Amino acid sequence: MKIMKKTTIFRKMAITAMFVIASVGTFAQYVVQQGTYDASLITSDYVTIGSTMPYYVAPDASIQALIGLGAMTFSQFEWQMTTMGSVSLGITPLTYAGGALTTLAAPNGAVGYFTQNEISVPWSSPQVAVGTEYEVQVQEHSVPASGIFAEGCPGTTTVRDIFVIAAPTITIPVAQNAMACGSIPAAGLTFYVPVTVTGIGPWTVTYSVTYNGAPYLAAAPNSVGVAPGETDATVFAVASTPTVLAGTPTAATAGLPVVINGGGATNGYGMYVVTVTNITDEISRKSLDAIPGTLVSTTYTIYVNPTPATNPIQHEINN
Amino acid sequence: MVVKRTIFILVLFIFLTVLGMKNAGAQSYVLSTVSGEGIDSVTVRSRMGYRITPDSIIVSLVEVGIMNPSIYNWSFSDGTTVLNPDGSTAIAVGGFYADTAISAVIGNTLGIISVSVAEQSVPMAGTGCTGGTQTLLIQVLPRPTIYYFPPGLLQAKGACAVENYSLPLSLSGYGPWSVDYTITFNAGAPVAYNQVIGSVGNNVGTTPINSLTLDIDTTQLANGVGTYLVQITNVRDRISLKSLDSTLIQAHPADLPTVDSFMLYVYPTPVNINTIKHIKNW
Repeated sequence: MKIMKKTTIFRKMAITAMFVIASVGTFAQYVVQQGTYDASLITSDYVTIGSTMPYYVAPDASIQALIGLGAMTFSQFEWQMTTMGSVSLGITPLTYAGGALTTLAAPNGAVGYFTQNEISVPWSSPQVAVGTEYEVQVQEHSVPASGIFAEGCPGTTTVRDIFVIAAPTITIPVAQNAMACGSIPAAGLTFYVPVTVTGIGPWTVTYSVTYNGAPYLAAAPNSVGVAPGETDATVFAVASTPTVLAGTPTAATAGLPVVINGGGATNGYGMYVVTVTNITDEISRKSLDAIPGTLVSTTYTIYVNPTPATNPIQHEINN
Repeated sequence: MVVKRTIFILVLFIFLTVLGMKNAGAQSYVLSTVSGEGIDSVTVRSRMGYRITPDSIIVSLVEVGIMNPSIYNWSFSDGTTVLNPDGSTAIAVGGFYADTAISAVIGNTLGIISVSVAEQSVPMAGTGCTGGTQTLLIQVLPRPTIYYFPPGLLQAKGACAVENYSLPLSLSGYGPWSVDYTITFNAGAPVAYNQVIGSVGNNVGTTPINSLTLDIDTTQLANGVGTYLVQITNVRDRISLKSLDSTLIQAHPADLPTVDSFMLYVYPTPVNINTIKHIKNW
C-alpha cells in the first residue's frame, strides 16, 4: 500500500514538473514579425518626432533549434532606448500593436527583460528632441529548459542608431497666381501649384480643390519630389532644408497638379482654390501612427482668366 | 382769354424743350451686325451713344466675385472726346474706360469716321486679357434743311373762310422730319406747333424732296378773320433725332427758309349788305 502511494506521489511530481516547463514555454513564444523591415541591417533609422516606430530582432538561430528539440525555452530580450552615451531615455517600449510588453516574474524572468523580440517605440517629446541622434539597444538572454532565467546566458548587445527629425512642412509661397491670357481649358490643362516643403522626399500631399466656390475635385494624395538619398551625415540638414517644388501652368514637372477642366456656363474659367490638408514625407509615413505634417500655409488660388470676346458695338438704330 | 392760353402754350413749349435738351427720348440701340446697321449714320455736332455687351463668361465670373468688371479702350478715329452716357467727361485710366456705354459729340466734318473698342478683363490676380477690337464706321451727315417750295418767295394764301392749307415744302435729309413752327395771329404772340412729315422711306440726303407739305388745319387758324403768319423754327430728321442732346441739333438759320414765313389770310365775308340805292325819281 505504501509502495503504491510512493509511486503515485512520484508520478504526480513528474507531471507537475513537466507542466511547469510547458508553462514557461507557453509564456515565452517569439512573436510573428508584423512590421516590414529594411532588408539592410547596416543603415540608421530616421524617425519623425512624435511617431511610433517598430523594431524587430531575430532570435539566435541555434537557440531556436534547441527550443525545437526541447533543450531550451524561449529567450527574453532587454530593449533600451538611450542617448548616444547609453543613458536611458526612460521611454517605455510597447508591443507592435501598442500594448504593454510581457515581463515574466522571477525566477522565469528578470526586470528589464521582455518576452517580445518585436516592439514599438514612441519617439516623442520630451524624451527626445528633433535633430538629435539616439540608440535602440537590445540584448537577447537565453533561458534553459528549466525555465530558470538566471541559468541562461546574456548575449551581446546590438545597437541601432536613431535620427529624430521634424515632421514635414509645406508652404505655398505665393498666395495666388493666374494663368496666361487665353489659356482656354476646354481640353483640360494641368496647373502645377508651386510648393516649398521640408522633410525627406518623396512627400505625399493631400489636398482638395474648389472651382468658383463649389467642390470641384477631391484630389488624390499626390506624391511630389524624389528620395534624395540622405546619409547619416546629412539627414538632419536635409530634413530641415526647404525644397522648392516650383510649378507652372505649362511645365508638368513639379508642384501639386490641378486639372483645369472646361465646360459649364463659365467654360472652366474662373477661380480654383487649392487647399492642402496634410503632408507626409518618406520618414513620417513609416510611423505606426498617422503623423500629420505641419501646414505653414494651406491655400493657393488659381485664376484662369478668359480673354474677352469683345462684342459688336451697338449704336442707335438708323432705320 | 386768348393771352392766357398763349402764355400757357409758351410755358409748355419751353418746358418740353428743356426736357428734351438732355434726353432726346428713349433710344433704341441695335447691333452693328444687323443688316443695314453696319454703319452708324449721325448728324454733325450731335451727341451719339455707343455701347457693347460685356463678355458673358466674364459677367458670370464678376457676379460671383471671381473677376472684376472689365474695362474698355473706347476711341474715335478722328480723336473725338469720349464722354459718359450723360454727356459728362469720361475718365480714362491707362486708356481704358470703366463703362460699357459712352457718348460723344460728333465733329463738324462730313464723311466717315469710326469708333473702336476692345474689352480688357480685370482679374483678381495677374494681368488682364485684351479681347479683339470691334470697330463701327460712322457716317457723318449734314443737318436737314427745310424751305417753303419754291424757295425764296414770300408766299401767301387766303380764303373767305377758315380752311385747311398744305404749304409746299422742300426738305433734305432723312425722313420722317420733325418740324417746329409757330403761327402768329395778327401780330400777336406766336403759338408753337410741331408736325411730323414724311416717312422712313424718304431718304433724300442732300437732294431735296419737294412733294411734302406742312399741313395747317383749321384748328390752328381758329382766331377768326385776320392774318396768320406761319414760321418754321426748327427741323430735325430721323438721323439728327438720334442725338442724345437735342440742343446740339437745332437748325441753323441757313437750314430754314430764307424768307421764312408763309402768310395765310382769312378774309372777312360781308354779311350786312345794304339795300341798293338809286337816284331819286322825283
